[in-house]
Amino acid sequence: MNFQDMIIKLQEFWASHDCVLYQPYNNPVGAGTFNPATFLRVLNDNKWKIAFLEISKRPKDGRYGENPNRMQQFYQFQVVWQPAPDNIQDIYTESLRHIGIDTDKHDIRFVEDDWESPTLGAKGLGWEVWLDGMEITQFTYFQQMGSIQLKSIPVEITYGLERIAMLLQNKNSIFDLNWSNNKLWSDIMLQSEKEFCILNFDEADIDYLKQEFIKSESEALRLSAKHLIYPAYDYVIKASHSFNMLDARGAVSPKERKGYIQKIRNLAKTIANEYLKKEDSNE
Amino acid sequence: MSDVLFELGFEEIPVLEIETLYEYFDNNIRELIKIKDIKVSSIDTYSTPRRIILLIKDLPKEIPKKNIRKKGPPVNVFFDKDGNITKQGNGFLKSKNIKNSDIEKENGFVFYNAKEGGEQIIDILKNTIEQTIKSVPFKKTMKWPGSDIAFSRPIRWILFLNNKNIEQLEIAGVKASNITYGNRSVGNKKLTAKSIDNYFELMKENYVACDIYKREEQIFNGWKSFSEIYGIDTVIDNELVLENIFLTEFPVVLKEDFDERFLNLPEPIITAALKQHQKYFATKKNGKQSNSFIFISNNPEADFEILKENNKRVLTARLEDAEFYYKSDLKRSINDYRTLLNDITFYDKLGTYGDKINRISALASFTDNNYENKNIDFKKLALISKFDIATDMIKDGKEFTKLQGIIGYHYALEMGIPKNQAIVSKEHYYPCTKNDELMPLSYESIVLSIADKVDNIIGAFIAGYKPTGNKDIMAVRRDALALIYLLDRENIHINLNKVISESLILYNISDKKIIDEIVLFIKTRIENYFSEEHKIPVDILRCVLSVKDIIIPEILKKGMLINHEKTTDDFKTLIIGIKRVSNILKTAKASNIIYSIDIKALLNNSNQAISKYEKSLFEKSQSVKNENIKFQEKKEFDNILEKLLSLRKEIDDFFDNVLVMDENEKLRQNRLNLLKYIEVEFNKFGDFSKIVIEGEKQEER
Repeated sequence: MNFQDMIIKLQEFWASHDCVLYQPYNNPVGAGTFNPATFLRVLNDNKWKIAFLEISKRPKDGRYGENPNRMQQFYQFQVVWQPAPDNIQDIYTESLRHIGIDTDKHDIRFVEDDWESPTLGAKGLGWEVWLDGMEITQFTYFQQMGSIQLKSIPVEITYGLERIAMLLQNKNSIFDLNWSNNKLWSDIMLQSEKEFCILNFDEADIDYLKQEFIKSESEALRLSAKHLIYPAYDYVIKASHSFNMLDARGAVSPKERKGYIQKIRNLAKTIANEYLKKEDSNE
Repeated sequence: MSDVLFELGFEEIPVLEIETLYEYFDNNIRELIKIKDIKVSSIDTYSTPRRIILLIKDLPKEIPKKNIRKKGPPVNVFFDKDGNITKQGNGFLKSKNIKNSDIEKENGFVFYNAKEGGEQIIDILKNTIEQTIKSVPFKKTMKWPGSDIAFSRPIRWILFLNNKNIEQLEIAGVKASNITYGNRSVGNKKLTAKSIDNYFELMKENYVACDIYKREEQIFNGWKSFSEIYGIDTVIDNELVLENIFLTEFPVVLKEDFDERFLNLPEPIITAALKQHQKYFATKKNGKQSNSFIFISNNPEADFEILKENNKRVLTARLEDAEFYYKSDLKRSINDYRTLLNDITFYDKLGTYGDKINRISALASFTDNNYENKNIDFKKLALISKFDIATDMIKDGKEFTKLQGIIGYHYALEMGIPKNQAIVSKEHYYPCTKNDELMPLSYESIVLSIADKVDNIIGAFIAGYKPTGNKDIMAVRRDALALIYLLDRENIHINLNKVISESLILYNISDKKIIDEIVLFIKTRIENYFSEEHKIPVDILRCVLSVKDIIIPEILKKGMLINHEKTTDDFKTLIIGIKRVSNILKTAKASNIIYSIDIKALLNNSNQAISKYEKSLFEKSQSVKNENIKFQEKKEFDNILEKLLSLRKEIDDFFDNVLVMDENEKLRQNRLNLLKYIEVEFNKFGDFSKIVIEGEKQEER
């Protein structure tokens, strides 16, 4: 099964479970959790079922397109289901069968891994899912988001699409994955991967990024004060990406690091609280 | 009587947490059976990552009824003067559910026959199970939809059978039934248990080995068969065995080979790639690292060829990562790393690793000068000990990070650094904890280990990470205990005060308060260490730790000598005398320690004569002092203590016959000076007034 068919199959599967099919966010995020369709929408205790492809940008993880397993950009397929149903592990296993993994022939294991994002103030308990020793999915019952204790517990399932595709297509390199029937991953992605690595590690303008961080922070606060939740949150995402870029450029000392993370977490917290307040006043 | 089976099913609980749950559950159930004195044929508990199971055979129906004669209130409370039952008396009867006629009087008290027992045991058991599940001391818990309790992972089913019948019980919104599930990796089949025996048959058929020891045996048998077939021996790692036991319900042992070219990597790197994340076992062939590895599958019906291929693929990616780091790291020279270390922060306020290397190099030289004085140049050795912190292998922050020190050693060898120098990279971290089996072997490693640990400890106090309660951010309690252990085991006579002062100078700190805090911290660790490891009572340790210089082997020697004397009557008498000296001096200050023996001159030709007791105490003290100067030079602490103890009679006689607080101020002052003279002499060995003798309350610190 090629890469695009796998995405189509996953969409098909989760749509059949009444999930809203959402789309990737239009600003760079490090994880699907940053997408407002996750971060903001799980804060209240409403029912929320959504599935979407997300582009995960992690500037520091790149290897100039030289290592076939490490990239500064990966594709994730994200499912958020609130409140989490009792049989979600079974539904997930079924989804693997839907994309052509004969689970009876493999060894699927749920191995402890509690995912958290200190920048988002997001914390949960869960596992990484192993398929024959390979980590293919992150599975998290969120307990906290935007530093707020959640009332209704959502489950977040994050499929690592490249890894699953490597298993399905029996390939040892992401470069060689069949994206479609006639194009490889490398045909489509490799040049941009190489160029972005050069940007992330060598070219990105540090002063500009620092300014961008400061500006994003003040914009987030300004807009949040005006109760413009989604636009304000957009600037949190921007601030977070500026920080990740600075980090990849080696422009963040360990001492400054904590400060940056704390600033973003405070922004996320402020906006999460604003979101809930606005909702209360609308009722 | 009946057999009872309880199974709690949940989503996969982490290894360490399932151990906690299992032990807590097992303990509580056994405790209940013991306390309530319930006679059963057997109690068995089992656990897997997804369930805990309790099987009790021949559980009685109810607690046997019995009469027990019990004591009630005093007669004069129960009855008034006229023999009528008081208000309190009636209240008592009501509370115990007994009648007036059940009461007997004896020895001024009321006695009665209490009826006990009769409770339904199954109800007690249910209650204990429920309370236990709700109070497991997990490190981390979560909530999930529908749960009213917090648990490590969501609870999904409860199977509860009393013979063939379902027992009612509800925990976390889950009701008990006769439904259970098979091994998840083999389809997670929903199963109905018709009886207890049927449950265990179903478990067997559906690949759930409930018993931990059964799973352990399966793993060991797998190793054995591979050893017989391929001649490879699995490297035994108990921690890893335990992890695999609690990651599987039915372990199947498989073998696969990785590319031989990776054998060029140092062995610890290969082992880390196998173990840290993947939980695979390394193997040896003819005593040498082999490219075969052992992994455990939870699905006995899987396609093993696919499993092997996929597990190999994951491992290959990890080994390739390691190989990439290994090659790129070795392109840099040790001096390149020296530069890189200048950009890596050690801790906030404590500078970079470059600064740290400068400090430990200087502190090691200082320690060397105060120890065997071999005049070693520690500049390069300090760099060798820390350069790997700047390598990509360590900085990656993943499975290889734990190899700090070991990586440095292998890289140093590759860089052509002689083995006796390279070894400090590993060994200067040893011992990592007290009683660590790994010890620094070379003199250079020992000295660097002392310098590094002292630098960490002092740094923690400077940076505001002083350990308090359960907070110890830089883990310096462990460092301090490891340091004391090292100095003790290697019998190293260095003065820790001097090393601490020098370390503070290297940090450019001259705050007296910090020195006092650090010294108190170290002394408290020494108390902990020697009282635990050498069974020396804390009061004796406080006595010998009151001296200015902290020299570990001397403190131990002195502590043992006093501990040996402690029970003799002579010693106790002496301590009482010394405490008197110290108490008197606490209220009345001595002006100095110059005692005048010429009383006539002191009192301007008075006719008063000096008491012979006073005179002999002074003369004896003087001779003890002079002799002890020689013993002190030779560090003959047994002789010093013997001399001090020999003053017992003179001190005793003095207090029995001489009044210190004489009306004559000059006489009084002169006697106080004599006491001070004695106290000073004793204090050179230790503050004996800190020693607790029987019947006396211990002084709080």
